Amino acid sequence: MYDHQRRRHSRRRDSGLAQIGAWTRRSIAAGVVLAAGLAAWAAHALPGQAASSSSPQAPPSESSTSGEPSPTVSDDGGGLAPPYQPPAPSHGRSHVTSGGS
Amino acid sequence: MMNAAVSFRVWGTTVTLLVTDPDRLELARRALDAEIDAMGEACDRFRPDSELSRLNTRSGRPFAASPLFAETLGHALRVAAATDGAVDPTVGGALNAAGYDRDMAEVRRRRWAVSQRVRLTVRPVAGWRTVRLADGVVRTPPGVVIDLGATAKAHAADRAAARAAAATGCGVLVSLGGDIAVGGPPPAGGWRIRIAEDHRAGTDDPGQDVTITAGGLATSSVTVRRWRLGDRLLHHIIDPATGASTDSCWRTVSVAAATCVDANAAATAALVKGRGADAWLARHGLPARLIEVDGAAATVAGWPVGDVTGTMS
Repeated sequence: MYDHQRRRHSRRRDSGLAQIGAWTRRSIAAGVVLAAGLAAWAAHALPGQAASSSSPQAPPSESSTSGEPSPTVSDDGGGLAPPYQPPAPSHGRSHVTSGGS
Repeated sequence: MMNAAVSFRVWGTTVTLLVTDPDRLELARRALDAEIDAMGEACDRFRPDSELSRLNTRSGRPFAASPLFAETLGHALRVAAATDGAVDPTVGGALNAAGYDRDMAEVRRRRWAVSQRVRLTVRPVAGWRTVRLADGVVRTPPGVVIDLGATAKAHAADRAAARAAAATGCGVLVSLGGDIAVGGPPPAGGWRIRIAEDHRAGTDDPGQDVTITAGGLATSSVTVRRWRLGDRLLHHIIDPATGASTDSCWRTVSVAAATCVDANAAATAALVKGRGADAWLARHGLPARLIEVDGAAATVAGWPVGDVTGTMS
């Protein structure tokens, strides 16, 4: 009698665990599908995102270049170089004008 | 020794060439013309046969670039990184959407009813990080339009000044629409430059006078290259974060740097960055003069103080 109750309890527990596992798998699958859909939507709606997502799928090179394309500059890129000397005041007649164009 | 000068028009702007030896002016002019022709063939957005136009019509596919185009695009990507993306070569689509899809004179000739309401979509541009350049091959994402306006003209000035100085052996100044590069031995006292809102201003018009002896100097302004699109008054300095004409607290910024490319990039970046740009320029040791919308002037990093109030407001 006692063993029978224990087996029944064990079966219920196993069944519950299996149900939880199934729901977890379904949730993960739904999450993956939702994330993929969201990424696809964002790729079309936002130009920057679209550009990023399409870069890895760039067609193969038509030139002799091989392998993954890489950016010419890194994030630090080299700063803008200051002049050897800053401009000095001038009091003579100017040679030329610098202004917006 | 007397300087000699010649001015002419190209790319919708004024080109001025000065040399310290008048006998070498023609030689210097040939060097300048060669650089202008080459840069036009490579990077003119309004020439359908330019490399840039061909790249833009086949975005999304690998594009084998000429050495000059690759060099110029390389500079554009470098200054984009150095300005934290404030100067970005992927603003071409935003410029087209704003109506700047042809020569400025033609843009201004378009007839728009001032009462016509125009809705411009605020959307970040794709961003310089999406552009790939390796071994002379360029890859841009589909639909992305590149504009090298913030780099090509200044780079042409740098190249022309160096080439003309090498060819002539004398001092050379090249100004492409106010983007100035100098090469060779400067005249006594340096090259004297009037700083103004508009490069077309005469050397007698109000402004500040400075001298440089090497490198480059450039001015960017939201007061020129403006056009109307219906009820909107737009200008050509695009904020990559919005894809629209930048709404800056500065109206004109002049910067001196080791090259004209870097000077022009810093001046344009300052307009886009707005408040805090003066500190950013100072942090990078870039001498600059910044004019606020109300006409107040600020100078940083050793730019000469003086004659900066009341002249350009």
